[in-house]
Formats: sequence, structure tokens, C-alpha cells
Amino acid sequence: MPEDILTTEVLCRLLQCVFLIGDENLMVVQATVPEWVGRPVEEVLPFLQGMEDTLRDLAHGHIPTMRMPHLSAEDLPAPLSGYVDVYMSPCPTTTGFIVVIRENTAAAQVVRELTQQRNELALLREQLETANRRLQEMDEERSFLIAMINHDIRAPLATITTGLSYLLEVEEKESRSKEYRRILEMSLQAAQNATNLANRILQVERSHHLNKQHKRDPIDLVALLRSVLNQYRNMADEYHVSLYLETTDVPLILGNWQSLREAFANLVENAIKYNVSGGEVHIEVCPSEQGVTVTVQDTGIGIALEDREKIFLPFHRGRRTRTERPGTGLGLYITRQIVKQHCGDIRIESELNKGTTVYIWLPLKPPETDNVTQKAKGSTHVCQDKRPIDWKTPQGYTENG
Amino acid sequence: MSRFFKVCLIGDFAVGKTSLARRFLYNEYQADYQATIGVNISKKEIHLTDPVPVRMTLVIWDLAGGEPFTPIVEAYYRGAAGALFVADITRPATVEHLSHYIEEFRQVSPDADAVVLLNKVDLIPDHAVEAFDQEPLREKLGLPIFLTSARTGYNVENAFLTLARRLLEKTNNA
Repeated sequence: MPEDILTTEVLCRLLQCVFLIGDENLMVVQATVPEWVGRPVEEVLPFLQGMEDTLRDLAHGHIPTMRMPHLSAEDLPAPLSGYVDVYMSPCPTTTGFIVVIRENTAAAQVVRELTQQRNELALLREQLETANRRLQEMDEERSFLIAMINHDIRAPLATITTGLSYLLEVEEKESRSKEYRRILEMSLQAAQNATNLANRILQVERSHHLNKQHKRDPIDLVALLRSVLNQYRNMADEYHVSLYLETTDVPLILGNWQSLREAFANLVENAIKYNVSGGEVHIEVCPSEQGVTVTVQDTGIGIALEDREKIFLPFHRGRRTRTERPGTGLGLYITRQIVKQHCGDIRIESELNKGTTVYIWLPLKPPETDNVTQKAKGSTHVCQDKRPIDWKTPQGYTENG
Repeated sequence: MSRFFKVCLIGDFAVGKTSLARRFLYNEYQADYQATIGVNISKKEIHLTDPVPVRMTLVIWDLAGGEPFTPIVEAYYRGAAGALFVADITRPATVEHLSHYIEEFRQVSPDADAVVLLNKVDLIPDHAVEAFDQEPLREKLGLPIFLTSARTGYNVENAFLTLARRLLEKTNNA
């Protein structure tokens, strides 16, 4: 018996499946199972069908060893099943090649699970990257839209408003017809509403970019609120609403004057606009733990229960306010954005037909970071958790509803 | 007597190679993603009638996706008469990687024939499928392109049978 056949017999005892395949016809010369001997390779190893030329090249030593781990096939030679590792190499002593097949299902299952996790993670990463790209595109689109509003809508609206105001003045002198005047007034109101909406959208954009600016100055909230009230004196007179400011000594806070002024102006405007004739607006400023709390309380129409959960959503307007008062539905959304970016908190209590109270807490000094979350001494600190008063009263609605 | 042709399914992970194979072999579809390791080998005998009736068996080597080109992958490619290069039409990166896979495959099996399958067309709107311009990719890769869906079965058999016909034609010409 040739030496290589003897070698194969020794291997057969050690390994599960060994074949020596020789000659041009690819017949099995030696094998673990004696019945396989003398049969063509495609019968005993049918998964190798279709690659006979390659097997001949292997038999002649034209290609080196082939290792195929984690191979599974429906027609593995019995008793093999599941996953196998296949090694094929030219026979060193004769024309032919040796095939060694070892079952390796247990290890393959572990590899499969790891591969599954790796691929799922990679898919998630791809999805995140795609979503991130889409967000960037949307941000660019939004910036474009805002720029367009600023340049191409506000300017013509200003022209329209001025023109209509002039026509109304002329109409007062010439007094053509009531219908003519009514149409002019309606048009002017519509133009003013559109201008107001455009301004609000710009406010939203500014509030989004506040964090990027990093501009924080020491701010006297009492002075800021006085300036807001001065701005709204005329409106309050027009609506027959009285404004009151109650203050104590409060420390300066670090913030952005312009945006905080916008935030409180929105609240005061709401408190006047949604008040009743002869109503009142009380603004109180008082120091609280590590910050200042500003309370804006009105005696107005209040917020219906079904509207309370949505009051901070952009463009949301309550059922009554929608029909009775002009507005954009962006004021509270903008205010919330500005408060959030100062790492403060906002809460609203309201009772229908009795009034609404808005509480805003602002920290003395926002954490020195461009996000709401700050890392300090190895721990994560979320500044929203620093609540100086109980924000979870049953009627109270925080920014999260 | 049936002739055997080894064909490989090649492409990035999670593009639907195994699902395409299962759709072609058993006309079934499994929604859950199950990663393939190594290679799964299956067979399907097909009957072609044009121009003359002939039986052939495709031995389908469904390879693990996204693996680096190592001697192991080279061993899987060896002896292949053809290949189906698969990409996920919703993931542009998988389409970009096709030329890389084709180049590697050609190094091992330069005479093999191949087709390209852009899978998961069921995930994009019909109008986008109709509007999809295959020509630039066809020119770049130099291979026929099929938009397929393993989920619905759309164009799957057509893609496999087209490759089978091309393989047969090539063998007959040889």
C-alpha cells in the first residue's frame, strides 16, 4: 500500500471525515467510510459539484490549500450536519488531494451570534448616520426658509401694511363707504398677522441658535421686566387690563438679554391678550434656591383641560383663543425654548375662566456648556433636575406636559 | 444529465443575499435578519427550454456579507462559474461597494459571468423604481442589472435564470 494511503488511514482515525481523492476522474481513493472508496467525488461530497476544474487544479498542485470554515450545506456526508470546516490540500506524494472535514457547529453558533450583533450594530450606525445627514439637510432647508422669510416676505409685507395704513388714513378723510373701509381694515389686519407670524418664526430661529452664540451677560431681571411692561402699557390700556410688578431684591443672573426679553414679552402679551376687560396681570420676581423665579399671573380666560398638554407645541392654539384672539401659536414654544437654553424650567397652572399662572425658574448661572447636559467631575448633571420648587402639583403642566 | 454550475451570492451584509437565495430555492421569505457566517450551499435544478430543452443545476454559494478579502473568501470564490452581486437599493454605500466585490471576484474567477441585483425595491415607492436610471451603474460595472425584491419575489427568478442562460450559452460556445 502506498505511503500516502497509510497516512490517510492514520488521519482517518483522528478526524471525522477524510478523503483522499486522486486521478483525473476525481475518484475517492481512501476515505473514513469504506463504502465511499471508488466512488466519484461529486457523489460523496456533492456540495463540491460545479467546481471540478478547480479540484483538478488542486489535485495537480496548481492551487494551494483551500480552507473553508463555517460551511453549511444540505448534502453533507453523514454523519456530519450543521456547520463544518473544510480543508483541502494537494496530496504531497501523489496526484490527488486530501479533504478533511470537521464538524464545528458549536463554535460556528458563537461566531454567528457575534456576527449578528456586529452587523446589527453596524446597521444601526448606518441608520444613525443617515438620520444625522437628513437632519443636517433639514437644518439647512430651515435656515434657507428663514432667510427667505426674512428677506422676501417681511419686506413686501411691510410695504403692504404701510400702503393699507395710508389708504385707511385717506379713507378717514374721504369716507367713501363702510364696505370699502371694512375691506381695508381686514386686509391690514391680515397683513399684520402675517408680519407677526414671520417675526415669530424668526424668533424661533433665534432661540434655536442661542446656544451656539454662547453670549451670556449679567442680567437684572427686574429691569428687564420693567422694560417689557413699558412696552406693553399701551396694549394693556387698549384691552383694559392693569399690570402690576412685585419685586424683592433678586440677584443678577447670567443670560441673554434679548432672548429673555422675548420670552417674558410673550408671556406678558398672552396675559393681556387672553385676559378679560378690567382684568389684571401680576408679575412677581423672587429669589429661589440657586436661581430666580418669575411668576406671571393673569385673571384671564384660562386654558381648557384638553389644550393644556399641547400648549408648548409649536403652532398649537387653544380652541377658544383660536376663535377669539389673533395669534400664531408660537409664543409659548419660543418662551420654552429660551428657558430651556438658559437651563431653566417653565410650568403652567390654569383654571378655565379664572386665569393662568406661568412660573419660570432661571438658574443664577447656566452650566458652561452648549448643551443642557453637563459633565462635571465624571458625572452627568442634567440641570433640569435642579428644581427649586415643587413642579409636580396636579394642575401644573411642565414643558413636557 | 444535469450540468452543475457553482454561482456565488456576493455583497455587503444585510443586503438580502440569503433572502434572495431562499426566495429562488423555496419561494419563501423570512423577515427577520439572520446573519450568515461562512457559506451556505444549496442547489436548484432548473429546466430551460429556449432554444432547446436543457437541465442544469445551480449550486448556490451564499457567502457571508461584508467580509474582508482573505484567502478564505478567495477559497469560496474558487471554481465559480458565475456570481450574483447584491446591493440594497436603499443603502447607497452597498451599491458603491459593488465594484470592489466585482474586482476581487474577477481576480479569482476571471472567466466567470455575473449579474447585479439591486434588492429591496419594495422599500422604495413605485414611481422611484420606475424612474431609477440603471444605465450609469450598468456602464460602470459592465454587468446586467436587476431591481429585485426578495420580500415580494419581484424579478428574483428572472435574475437567477438570466445568469443561468448566460452560463449555459458561454459553456456551449466554449
